[in-house]
Amino acid sequence: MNLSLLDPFTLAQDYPESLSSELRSGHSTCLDGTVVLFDVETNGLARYLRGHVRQIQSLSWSQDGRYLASASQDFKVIVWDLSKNGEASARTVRFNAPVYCAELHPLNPNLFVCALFEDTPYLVDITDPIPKKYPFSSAPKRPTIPGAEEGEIDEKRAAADAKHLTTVAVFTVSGEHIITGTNKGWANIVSTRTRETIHSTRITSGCITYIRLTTSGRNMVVNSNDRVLRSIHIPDTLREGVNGNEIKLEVEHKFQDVVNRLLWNHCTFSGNGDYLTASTFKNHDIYIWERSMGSLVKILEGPKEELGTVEWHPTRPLVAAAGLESGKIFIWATSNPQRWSALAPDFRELEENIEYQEREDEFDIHPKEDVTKRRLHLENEDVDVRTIEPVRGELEDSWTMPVVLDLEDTESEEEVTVAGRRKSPAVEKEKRGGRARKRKVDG
Amino acid sequence: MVQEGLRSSPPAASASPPPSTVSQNLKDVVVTTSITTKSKKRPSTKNVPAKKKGIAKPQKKKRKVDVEEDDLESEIPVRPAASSRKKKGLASNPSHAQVNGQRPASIPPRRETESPPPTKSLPPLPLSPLPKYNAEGMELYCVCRKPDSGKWMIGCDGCEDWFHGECINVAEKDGDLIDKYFCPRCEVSGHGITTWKRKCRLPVCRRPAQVDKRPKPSKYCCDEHGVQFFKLQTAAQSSRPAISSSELAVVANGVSSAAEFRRIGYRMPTPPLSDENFRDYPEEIERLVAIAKERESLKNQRHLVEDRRRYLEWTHQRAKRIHEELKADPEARNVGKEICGYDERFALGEVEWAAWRNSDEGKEVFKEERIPGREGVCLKKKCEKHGLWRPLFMEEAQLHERLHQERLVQLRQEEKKIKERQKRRSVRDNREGTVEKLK
Repeated sequence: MNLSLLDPFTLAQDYPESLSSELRSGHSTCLDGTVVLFDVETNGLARYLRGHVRQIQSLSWSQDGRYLASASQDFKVIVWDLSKNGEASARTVRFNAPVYCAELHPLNPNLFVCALFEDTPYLVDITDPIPKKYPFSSAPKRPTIPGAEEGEIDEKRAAADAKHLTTVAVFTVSGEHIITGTNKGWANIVSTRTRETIHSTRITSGCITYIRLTTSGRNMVVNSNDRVLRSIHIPDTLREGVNGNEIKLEVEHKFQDVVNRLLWNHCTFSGNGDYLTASTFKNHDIYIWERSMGSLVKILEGPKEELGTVEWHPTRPLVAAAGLESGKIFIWATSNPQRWSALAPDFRELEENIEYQEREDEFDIHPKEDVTKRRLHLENEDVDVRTIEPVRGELEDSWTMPVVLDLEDTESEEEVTVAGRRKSPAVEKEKRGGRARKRKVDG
Repeated sequence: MVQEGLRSSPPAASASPPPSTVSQNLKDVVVTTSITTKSKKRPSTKNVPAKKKGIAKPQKKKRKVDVEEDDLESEIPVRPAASSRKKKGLASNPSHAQVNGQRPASIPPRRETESPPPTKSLPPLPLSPLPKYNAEGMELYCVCRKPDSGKWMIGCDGCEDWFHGECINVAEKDGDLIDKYFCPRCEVSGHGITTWKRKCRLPVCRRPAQVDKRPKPSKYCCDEHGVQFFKLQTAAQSSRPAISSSELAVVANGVSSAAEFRRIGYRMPTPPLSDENFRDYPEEIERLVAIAKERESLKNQRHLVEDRRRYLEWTHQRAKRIHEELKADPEARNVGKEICGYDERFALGEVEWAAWRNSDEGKEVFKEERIPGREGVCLKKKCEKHGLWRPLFMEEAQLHERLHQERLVQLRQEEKKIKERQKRRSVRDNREGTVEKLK
């Protein structure tokens, strides 16, 4: 419906309320490595990307939505170029171990950072035909002990530090730094240009499983296996060349489920960073908190199955989550009930019947010319049917994906049950930019 | 003297052994046929040439039903399959008044009831000579031993005697069709058998076909009959004719040989290349070129994928070999059942792999089909990092193979569509004409 006809209070709602639709691709959550792109406007299949042979661990979009990086357990990261069809559309980079996560640089789609399973993390540059892999260390940078010089470290500490393995790596919003999390609970900030660790903080004692930043880059959420979600404020001073010792990462709020002590499967921020969403382990709910206050705002319910990855739409109040057992993707949205009173100016919605009292001059017979003149006067204004008002937050001239007309059918639609539990397939919406066509991705 | 025209059965079809018997009289004579090209012998010294064969005499008596059934559909010259011959006539006309009271050749009729032997191996029988002159000194001819009465006669190529058409059951109008005629006596005595020429293919025509025509022998007596025959063929189609005669003419004129004519129906025809209305849009040409290039590069990639797969198999052998070496090595710690065996070369990207493959080391490995050394090999016993890498790479190779195939099919279909579109456009332009844009 037209925006101006909607109830302004429902329009201002930031978070979804109820389950609105489901998506299926034949192999969703079957761990075979296909990346499926759905179109958000039509909920239809847009692309079918094949190249991986094992399950996909993470997906990452580029700034304009043209490139998509997928990391999989089959030792590969593939960067897909969605504007091309056929051979040149995929760039593959191979590694020596399964890849946990890969993220594209926010400004340069030829650069990405990835974390490997029991191996060093890499910063990879694929501008040339031969990719250049730059490893960087997982060991945290210890603050200098008073009395010792810069660089001297304790022997025992060094041995312990060598056992750190990076489990997740993300770029900051400017792309100048990489924030990584290790399996001992430390968060390292690494400079992209020099690949040196400039700062480390111990965040938790458990293993960090996920880090996610807001679109603005000022906040991040850290998920670990001590069942606590921590939202951390990133200082604005984190810029190129800053001295590492001056940075401080502060934990703003801790979110946990005190009732059941549940582990969090996945967490994400809303588009503007106001809300934090998380899905639970072995439970059917999605929790939504307000980040600044730290208060629980809503619990989304719907399917009677456990949900894996959960994602929020970058601009609209839509939440999508993947069901682990059935393989469907559930979408929650705000519902806009039809307001009949908006269709004509003198309609009014009533709760119960009322007796109508007509006006004194209601049924007077007016001269015809007045009536027609009034009607013609109203019909003179031009109705504008062409301009498309941009939805708030979307860019005007971003790249749109070309439609592939002869897409082959996905294979059979019978129910597929998911085998594994720990590594759930990734569901992501487009995070940054993009115009009318938004896409959901499921691997 | 009763002249009895000898009624003899029409000679049977040459291809089939059982003779057809329509004899009203006693014996049947089967005259076998074959296609030869010898011309008939003409008697050299005859003083009444006008009465001989070849000159049309109006005395056309009632003629016997004639020669053998047409079997000219077969192109192979047919050997006479059987010939049961009877001595005809001479014993059956005892009423002929003979000169000198001599009975003509009291030859015992040979009744052959069993299947006749092939013609070649007939032993010559002793035949008493026929009388040549009668009492008045006139020459006697034919089996009836009458002087020349003006009836149409045919000369025997074996004995120089002449025979009435009626007496030997050869129609005058079929005279042209006889290749070589041997009288019954000569046939019996083994001088030869009567051979006939091939008849013109048109059913109603009884003239001989032009088998002498060069460069190709013809099945028709003249070209007009050839045309007429095919007109009958096209008109005789019982169902709706699939092709009109003018269309047939175009098709037939467009081929250069009979074999090519038969091959026409196998494929869809393409419009002629030198079509002046054949325009191709530049983007179509670009796309076709791009498709060809992509196909080339896909082929190269397939080679690389294949190489990787073979390399994978050799790493398996190498892992076993290293395992053996380690077990034999006294310094090694406890070696388990097998080693991980993961090779770091698997992490090479496409360009690097191609470079290694073309290097000396790579060529060596591929020639020997084994991989020496153990650099870059993961030697762990139970390797968590590289878990189950072997089936992973096998599946990857298979997936790439499948994707290549599908991509090739897609390219081929696209190419076919573009070409189809071009053809259809040229056909449409030919039919409807094009509109030229004036600049």
